[in-house]
Parts: sequence; structure tokens; C-alpha cells
Amino acid sequence: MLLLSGFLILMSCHTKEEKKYDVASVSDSLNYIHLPEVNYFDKSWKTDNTLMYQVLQEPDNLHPTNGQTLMRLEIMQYTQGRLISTDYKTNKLTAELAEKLPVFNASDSTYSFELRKEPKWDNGDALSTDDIIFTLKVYKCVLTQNDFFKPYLDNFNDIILIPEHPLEFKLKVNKPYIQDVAVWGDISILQRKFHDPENLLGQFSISDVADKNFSGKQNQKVVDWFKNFNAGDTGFDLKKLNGIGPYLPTEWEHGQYLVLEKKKNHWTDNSSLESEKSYPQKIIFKVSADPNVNLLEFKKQNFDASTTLSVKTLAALQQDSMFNRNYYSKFTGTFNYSFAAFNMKPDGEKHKPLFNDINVRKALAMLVPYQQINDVIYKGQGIRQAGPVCSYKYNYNEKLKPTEYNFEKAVELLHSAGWTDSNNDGILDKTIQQKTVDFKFDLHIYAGITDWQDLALLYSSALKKAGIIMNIVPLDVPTFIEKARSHDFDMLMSVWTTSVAPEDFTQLWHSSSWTDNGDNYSGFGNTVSDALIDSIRYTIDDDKRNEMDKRFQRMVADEQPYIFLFNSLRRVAVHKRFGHVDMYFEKPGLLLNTLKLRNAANYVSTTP
Amino acid sequence: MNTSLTKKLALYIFSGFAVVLTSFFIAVQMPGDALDNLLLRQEKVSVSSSDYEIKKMGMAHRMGIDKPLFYFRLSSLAETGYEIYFATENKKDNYSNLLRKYGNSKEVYLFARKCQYADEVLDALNKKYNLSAIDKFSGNLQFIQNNSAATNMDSVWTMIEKDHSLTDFRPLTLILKQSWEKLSQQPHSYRAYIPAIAFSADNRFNDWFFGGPLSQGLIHFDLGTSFFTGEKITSLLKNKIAWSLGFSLTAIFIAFIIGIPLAAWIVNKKNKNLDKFIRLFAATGYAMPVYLAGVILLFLFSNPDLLNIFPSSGVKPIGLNDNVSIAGKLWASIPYLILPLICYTFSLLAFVVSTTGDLLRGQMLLPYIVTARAKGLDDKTIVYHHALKNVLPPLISLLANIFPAIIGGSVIIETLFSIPGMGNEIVRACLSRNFPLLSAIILISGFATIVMYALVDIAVYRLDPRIKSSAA
Repeated sequence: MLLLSGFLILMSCHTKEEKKYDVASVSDSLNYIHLPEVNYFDKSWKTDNTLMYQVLQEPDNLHPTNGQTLMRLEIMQYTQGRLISTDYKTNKLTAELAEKLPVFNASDSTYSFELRKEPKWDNGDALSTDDIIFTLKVYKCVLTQNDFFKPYLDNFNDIILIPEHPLEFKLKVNKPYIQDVAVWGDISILQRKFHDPENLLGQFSISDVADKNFSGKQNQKVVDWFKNFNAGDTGFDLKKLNGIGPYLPTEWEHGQYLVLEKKKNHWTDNSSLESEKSYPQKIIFKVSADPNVNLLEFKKQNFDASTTLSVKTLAALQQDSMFNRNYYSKFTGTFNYSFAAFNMKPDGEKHKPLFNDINVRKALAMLVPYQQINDVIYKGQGIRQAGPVCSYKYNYNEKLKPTEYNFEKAVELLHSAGWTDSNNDGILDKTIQQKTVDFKFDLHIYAGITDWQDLALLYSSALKKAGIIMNIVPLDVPTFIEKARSHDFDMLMSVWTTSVAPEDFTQLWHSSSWTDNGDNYSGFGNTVSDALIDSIRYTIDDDKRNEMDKRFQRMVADEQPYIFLFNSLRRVAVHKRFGHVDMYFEKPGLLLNTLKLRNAANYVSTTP
Repeated sequence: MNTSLTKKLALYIFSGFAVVLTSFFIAVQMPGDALDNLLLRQEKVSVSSSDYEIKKMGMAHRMGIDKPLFYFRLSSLAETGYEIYFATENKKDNYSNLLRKYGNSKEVYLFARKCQYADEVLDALNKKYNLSAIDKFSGNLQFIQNNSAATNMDSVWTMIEKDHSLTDFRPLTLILKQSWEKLSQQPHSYRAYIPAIAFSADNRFNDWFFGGPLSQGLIHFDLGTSFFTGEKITSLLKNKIAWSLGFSLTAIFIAFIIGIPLAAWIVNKKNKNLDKFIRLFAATGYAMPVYLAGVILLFLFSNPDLLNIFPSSGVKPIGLNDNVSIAGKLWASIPYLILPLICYTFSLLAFVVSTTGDLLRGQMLLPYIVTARAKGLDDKTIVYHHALKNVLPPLISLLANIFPAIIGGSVIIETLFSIPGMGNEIVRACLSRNFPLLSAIILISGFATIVMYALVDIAVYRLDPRIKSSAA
């Protein structure tokens, strides 16, 4: 008790800056925010070229094909190479190991690729089409345990080599699909000689290995090879983690940290592309999930960068002048958005048809206290979401406007839909199927996320004023998803993660995704919207497709299957001892390899 | 070994079996689908739902999840004889509805299998041709499978037969129609009301215990493979157990080594104010939530604005060379371990001091103490040489209850201080429905508790001569 009292006294003595959190406008640029270097180098700053990066959790593994967490993808960005990647400054696809973006040939339904001459594996071998063929075989093979990823490769049939041009090849597809090229951004190219020195898979074609009745299943050597490849230690044993990227994992303490070290004499060292330059000698991904601990670690300057601080932590840190002196920090936009989905097609028994009237949906959208939520939860920096595509994206329909709070209009709409307080108990009611039904419903949210609970509480209070009772039901992720997909909910709140890749709206908005218990939770869709979605999927021409995208976004916004809430904010902090700081809206938000340690000798050292 | 201990041993063995069964059933019966967790990517990219179902069924088969749970289950005559796995709850419910309505399990099973086959055919065709006709037919098929009402099915059949764009699917339709006719025209709905026990030798418990697709079985000390990471659970938990057990046992050791003598000293001193102070300390320590204590410690001792003595997280400095000796590693780790150890220990210490003090005071009122005083022995000798000995057996018995509580409390401490222990893994395993890992953790915790109970019983048996003589 004495200790606690002493602690409280000491804390109250510590003076806080009255400064408001310094958050720059998130729209400095459409795609990224560039931060110019400061003109000082503080004496307290470290001068080692090791970048300590705070992360919330470690990757599930670093297996080349069989992992799935975002953390794994983020780390493999530095250790692996891909044919295609994203230019984070333009948010467009760009060639990485390929010479340029592929061209689609309608005559033979192929994409023509050409490999760059520069990429070399760690043993000095050049990247070759042999590696590309091997990679596709392994990814598509029925014996590889990457079931979650295989659907994205179903459109790829074969690779056709061009003998007179050994670095060129054609990728044969069933039919052209908008994400054919983008998906190569998630495929790490494997070195055939490293993984399969005996070329066991060389005797099989790509369609052979993808066949359900793959004959290799009867070949013990092949079976053993895949058993070994799929084994856990392929994703954990550092000696097995081979890649063409500039960094190599050298130490992994599970649950603690993972160390990447820059390879000596890597082929990207002489690259003219700034995005390929790798400056930090070491990048350490340190696991630190608790916001209080993160606050202290940043005060102590133990971390150099983070993109996963909580809103409250970063807001609290920005109150501290020392933190602002030592770090760049921003709330930046992302391609993710939060939403509340209505169940527009409930069973009528367990879940009443509360939201099948569009006026009711619009009314509930108008009752969300957006400004209050923005002030309390997003510290005034939240960006409203108007439709199913983020406002940063090139195909965003600028004519869409987010729904604003309008209590009177909402009440009017509810009355027009037949909801009145007939018994004067303060709760709206209506006769549905010859029964008087009160306007009460459950809102499902993910358990354990305090921001969302706060948001739901604010919304619940606002609804109560209009005579609607909303019960907040926190659920853990698997239960939440199960109920969402089986349409066992009234309303739910969630977030979608999107990217710069061309949008395929099938998963979220096609009516088949509702009947098949997919991710179309709300039941949106009809023949017109389905036909538009189907057209979009196979329209390769960007301009034509963008127009269709905008039309589709209007359809969704008008139908109001969701209350589109906010664009998710990324909370980024980077130590000022590093220069070349660009904060991107596309995940991961920072390219750690491009952060360059500044030379302390070039500046007059100052003390705080 | 006497009868009493033999009986206890039998009880522990029985408890061990109970732990094995409990760990399996708790893990597999959690709501939510582990495969959905595995198949869901964190990025939104289009995947058709039928494709997803087919992949999920393939994965379920590969992992042995499509098997029945246990050797037998209680059901009705209509539901026995044929086992089938469905990727969605909706289809499972509809299958059950069909069984209850028609009762002829073989025909219903065959119909469901043909529907699954039709799904695969359509999915493959769709990838090749992308015809809206395929989508239409597929949609109708889903409708059939999702609705068991006969009238709906008749109208669907009529629609398929009348729609010329679906001519190519008539053979497939015919197969399904014939199967449906057999099902609906030969109902045995009474079978749904006759209870029966369905037996299956090839089941998930059998795979888990004796060996299956993912492990050699618990009987060979193979805990299986983590669904989420693909790592062998034995190697995954090796270090984690060491950290969790290390902290737990160290905390218990410190609490007892400090707590018992401290309590004896207080009782010996007979100082009322001191007594009150210690009681207050015990109450505070016991009541304060572990997380709050951890945060207070961090803000006091790991804060550059106050005292910056200890690191905030982790268990060792980064880059500690493998060539360093174990003693060297331990020495380097000590600053990282102080704050978490205080968190582990303080409420336990408060509990031990408080409980020991109460027990000792109780002892001091007993007749043998009066006799000892009458014999002329001083208070110090009475407390340390007589009373304390009699208090040890019940104190040691408390260990058995403390130990599982510490394991449970370690979740918060491990998350706060980023300690790579079992507590963190339990949370992750629960959230991701990682059934093999979850069952392994429950198993290990259960067995550790049983071992602790056994050790406590042996210790008490040795310490308390009354137990020995009564057993004799």
C-alpha cells in the first residue's frame, strides 16, 4: 500500500507536456508520406546499424509455401524474391525479379514473362526458368500442405519455355483473370537446386503434380521429399531457410525475436533502384505485445520502428516532447476498413427480419455518432469510409460520400418503415408476422479489442436515444466467423483487409458467397450485381474495369448492406537516427531495408 | 509401500487416464472450426465458396479430422452405419434433417456423396469454362443441399430439366434425381426414433492416442503436430515448459523459503502492530491483480522518467552468443527475470505468510504447547522446533493447489513481459483452435499437477509420523 501510494505521488510529480499529439495530415500524398531528415543527431542516439523493429507476434513459420500469417509475409519480403511486387509510392504492381510486368497474349491465353539477368542465389547461380517451373510445381502440387493458397493458382496451367530466349517464358492460364499477375507478389521463388538437387519433380509436368491422382504419390522418393518439405523444421530450421532476398535469418528465439542479417555481396548492392537498396546491417523483429511495455520501450529508445502501436500508446507518446524529438510518428491511412454488417436475410425465427428494409438500414447508418467515435477512439484522425473500396485506391468512386449522423432523418426513416413506440416504453416496436417485436438486437464483435468495444458502446448509447436496444456480444475469432458465415447474427462489426491489387468482389459480394456460407455475411446481391462482379473479374483492361468498379461501388453504397465506418489507421513510429523515411499506406507501411542510418559525424551533436 | 499409498497410486493412475480423456475432449469440443482458421488468409482475395469447401474437405481428410470423434457415440438407428464429413454446419444440419425425415441411412449417405461429387465436377468445370450455366446449376445444387424440403426439390428438378442452358448437366442431374428418388420413396423414418450406439474403430481419439496421419500417438510420447505452424509439438513446448516451470517452481521456492520463516518470526515476536502490518501486506498482495502489479513494477523500475534499472521485456539480451556458458547465460538473463519473478512471487508470498501465521497461531493454543511452556521451554524453541514442524504438512499440502493456480496466472505475466512460456501458447492455441497443441498443454498441465499431488503426498507421509502409524 505504501509502495502504491509512493508510486502515485511520484507519477503525479512528473510533468507532462500540454502539447497536442502531433499528427500530420494523412493526406500529404495519395500513397505515402515522405519525412525529411532532421538537421541534428542527438548524443543519446545509438550509432549501430541495427534496426530494432517492434512487432505484436512472431510469424507462424518461415516456410516458403506453407505459412499464412501477415508477419511471415512481411519478413519474407526481405529474405525472398518474387517475380512481381508493389511499388509503394505509386501503389501499382511492378516487376521485381521479372524484367517488366508481363504482357497478356489473348491468342494463346498466356502471359509473357522475362527474368532479369542480375538476380543470383547465395551459391552464385543465376535465377533461371528452372526455378520458376519448380516453384509453380511445388506450390500447385497436391502433396504440398498449402491448401489455403492453392485456389489462387488454379488458373495457372503450364509454363512454356522459349528455347531461343532462356530467360523468357510464357505462363499459360485457363482464362485471363484480374489477379493473375498480382498473385505472383505472394509467391516466393524457390531455388530448384537447393530444394530438389536430384530434380525429382523434373519428371512431372505442372498439370501432373496438380492432379488429384498425382502419380508421384506412388513414388516413395517423391513422397519422402514432400514429407520432408512439409515438415515443421523446413519453416524453422535456419539452415533450410534459403532465399534470393538481401537478408538472411540468423537467429530466432521463439516468442522473443528474429534476427535478419544483410548478406555480403548481394546482387542488389549495385542496383540503381532505391527500393532495392538495403541499408540496415541487421533487422531485429522483437515481439512486444503489451501497450504499456511498448510505451516504456519507446521512451527508452529501445525500438527504432513500429507500425503496430496502439492508438492510445502513440497518442500518449506524442504528448512527450522527448519522444517527438527522437522519433517521427504518424497516423497513416491503410487499405483496410471497418464496417458493421446487417443480416439482410435472417431465418425469421432465431433472428427477426429487422434489417431487410433499406430505410431501416439507412436509418441505423445515420445513427452512428461518427464524430464522437473519431474524437474518442481515433483522436480526430479517423478517415471515413464511404463504400467497399478505400479512398486511397485508384479505382475509388470519388462521387461516393460517407453517411453522416442525422438523428431526425433517421427517426423519420424508421417511422416510415413502421417502427414506432406504440406502447410508450421507450423502445421502438413493429408488428412482424402478427407479433409485436421490439427493436432489440445483438451486435457481434471480436472479443479483446478495446477500441471496438468502445466504438460499440458509443453506438449503443446513440441508438438508445432513438429507441433501439443493441446488446454487445464479444466473441472470439473462430466463433465469430462461424456465426457470420452461417448467418447466425443480427449485426456484426468487423474489418476487411484489402490491398492495391485489382479488386475481385466475388468473395464478399457475390450472392453465391451467401448461399455457400462464404464471406458475403449480409446477403447482398442479385443477378445484376452478380453479373457485374463476373464481368469485372475477367476484364483485364484497367480503364474499363475501373469504370465497372465504380459502378459496383455505387450499387453497394445504395443498397447499404454495411454501415461503412472508418478507414483503419496505421500507427507508425521511426527513430530519427534513420533517414529515407517513407511511410506507405499499403502494408506493411514501412520498408525497413530502405531506412538508412544517418552519419552522426555530419551533424552537430546536441543533447536534449 | 503400504496400502494407503498404493490406493493413492491407483488413484493417480486413474486421474492420469481422466486427464488424457479430458484433454482430448476439451480441445476438440471447443466451438469454432480449426480448419476455417487455417484456411482463412488474412488478405482478402477471391476464392469461390465451393472451392473453399472442397479444399477444406481435402484438408480434413489429410489431417484425419473427417473421422468420428471417439470409438462410439449414442445416436439413432437412422444415423448409424455411415460416416460423412461436411465442410459447413449448414450442410451437416441438413444431412441430419434428411436422416431424421427419411431414416434410410444408406440412401441418404449415397445422395450426400453424389452431391459432393457433383460439387467437385462443377468446380472443375467452372475453372475451365466460366459459364453462367454452371453457376446456375451449382446454385441450384447448393439450394438442394441447403433445403431438405421435398417440394423445393421437385421444383428445382423441374427448373433444371426445363432450362435449355443446363442441358449438359442432365446426366449429372439424372444421377442425383435417381438417388433422390430412392431416398424419398423408401423412407424408414421410424429408425430415427430407435436409439443405437455407433461404433467406429478408426476415429480421432484413436489417431491421437495410438497414432494417425499427424503423429505416432501419445502412447509413443508423440504429442502431434501444431495445426498452425506445422512444428512438432514436443519441440515447440520443450523450451516453453522450461520457462513456465522454472518461474513457477522458483516462485514457490522463494515464497516458502521466505514466507515460512517470516511467519514464524512474526508469531514469535508477538508484536501486534507488526502483525497488523503483515496482515495488511498479505491482503494487498493477495488482492492486487497480477497485471496491475506488473505494470506498477514496470513504471517504477523500468521507466526512464523514474528508475530505469530493469529491462521491460524479454528473458535475455538479444544476440547472446551460443558459445557463452549456461552460467554466463543465466547471469546475463538475471536482470530480465527479476520483475516477472516478483510478479509470480508476491501474491504467493503473501498467501504463504498469512496461512503459515494463522496455522502457527492455531498451534500455539494447543495443549502440547502449554505442556512445553510448562516444561520451561522458551517461545523461540516452541515456535521453531515444535509448532512449525506440525504446520509443515498442511503447508506442503497447499502446494498441490498453488501449482495449477500459478500455471494459470502465468498467462498474464508471460504476455506482459514477453516470456516464451506455456501461458502464451495456451491463449494462442485456444484462439486458433489448435487442437493438438491445446490438448498437449492441458495434458502436460494435468500431469504436472498430478505429479505435484503425488510428491506432496509422499512428503506429507514422510513428515507426519501419525499418517505412517495409522496406515500401519
